[in-house]
Amino acid sequence: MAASLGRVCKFGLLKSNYGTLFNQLLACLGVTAGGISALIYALDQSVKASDQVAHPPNYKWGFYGIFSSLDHRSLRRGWEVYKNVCSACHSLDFLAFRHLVGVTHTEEEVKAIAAEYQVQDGPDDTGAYYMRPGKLFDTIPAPYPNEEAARAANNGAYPPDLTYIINASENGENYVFSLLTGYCDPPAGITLREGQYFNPYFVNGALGMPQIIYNEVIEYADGTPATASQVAKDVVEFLMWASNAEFDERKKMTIKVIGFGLISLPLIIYWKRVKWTTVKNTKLLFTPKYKRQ
Amino acid sequence: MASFLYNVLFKRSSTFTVTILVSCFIFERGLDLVADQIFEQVNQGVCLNT
Repeated sequence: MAASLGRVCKFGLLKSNYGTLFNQLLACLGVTAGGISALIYALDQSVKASDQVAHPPNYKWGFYGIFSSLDHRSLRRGWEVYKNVCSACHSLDFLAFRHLVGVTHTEEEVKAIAAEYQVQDGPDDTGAYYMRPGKLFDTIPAPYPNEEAARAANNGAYPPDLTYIINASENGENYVFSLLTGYCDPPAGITLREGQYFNPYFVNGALGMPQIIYNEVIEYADGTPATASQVAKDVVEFLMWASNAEFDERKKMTIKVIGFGLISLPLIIYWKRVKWTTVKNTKLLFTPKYKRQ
Repeated sequence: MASFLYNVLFKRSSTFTVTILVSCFIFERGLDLVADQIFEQVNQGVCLNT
C-alpha cells in the first residue's frame, strides 16, 4: 500500500507543498461543505422554533441506559392497554401473535389470547371462506378491513397502524406519550370542526382522535394502579418494543462488543508492536570508503 | 509449557486448525454467557428471566 502510493506520488508526499492550487481547492471545498452543513443544521434548528406545535419533553424512560432493557412487565400491561383501548380503532398489522411469545406472555397464554379472536381462513373444500379461532401464526386482526372503512367510521380521519409508530415520528416515545396525555381545551381563536379534538403536541392542534386514556380506563391484571400516565407509559413501552423488536438483543450486543473489544485491544496493540519493531529499530548507516593516502 | 503447547497444538496445520475451531467455540460461548449475566444483573427485575 505504502509502496504503491509512493510509486504513484513520487516524492510529492514528502515535499512541503503548502499553498499549491490543489491544496487551496481542497481547503475551499472543505470550508464550503462545512459551511453548508452548519447552515442546514442552523436552519433546521430555527424551523423547529417556528413550528405551531408544542415540543414533547424528554422523559426518563427506563430503557434509555446503554445496557438497559425494556421493562417486560410494562410490555405485558401495554399489550392489555392495546387490546382493550387502542385496538378499537388502530391496527397492529406487522405483528403476529407468535411475536408476543416470550416477550409479554408465555406460549400457553398467547395461544389462549389468539383463540379469543376470530380469523378468516379458507378456501375450504367447497371454495368458501370460513371463520376460525386465531392461532399463533396469525397476524393480529385489524379493527377495520381496509383504509376506506376506517375513514368512514372515523369522520374521514385514518387511525394509523401502530406497529412502527414510535419510529415513524421524531422523538417517538416522548411524542406519543405527550400526545396521549396532553389533551386540553383549545385556546381562544382556534375553532375545531365536528369530530376534532385539540392537542398541542399534534401539528396544527386539531386531532381526529379524542382523549381516550383516563385514570382507571382499564383494570390491570397484575393490580398496578391504572393512572392515565401509567397506562400511557405502558402502551408507549409496548409500542417501542413493536417498533424495535430487537431492542434487548441490541443492548446485549453492546455488552458483547465492548467485552470483545477490551479483550482484543491489547492483542492488537501487541501485534502492531511486533510488526513494527523491525521498522522502528532499523538503523541506516552511511560508511564511506576512505582512500588511504 | 510453551513448548508443550507448540508441539501438541500449534506445530501442525491440522491440530492448529482444530485448536482454532475449538477455542473459538469455547470463547464465544463463554463471552455470551458472561454478557447475558451482566445484562440480567443490570436489568434485574425488568428484563426476562429475572
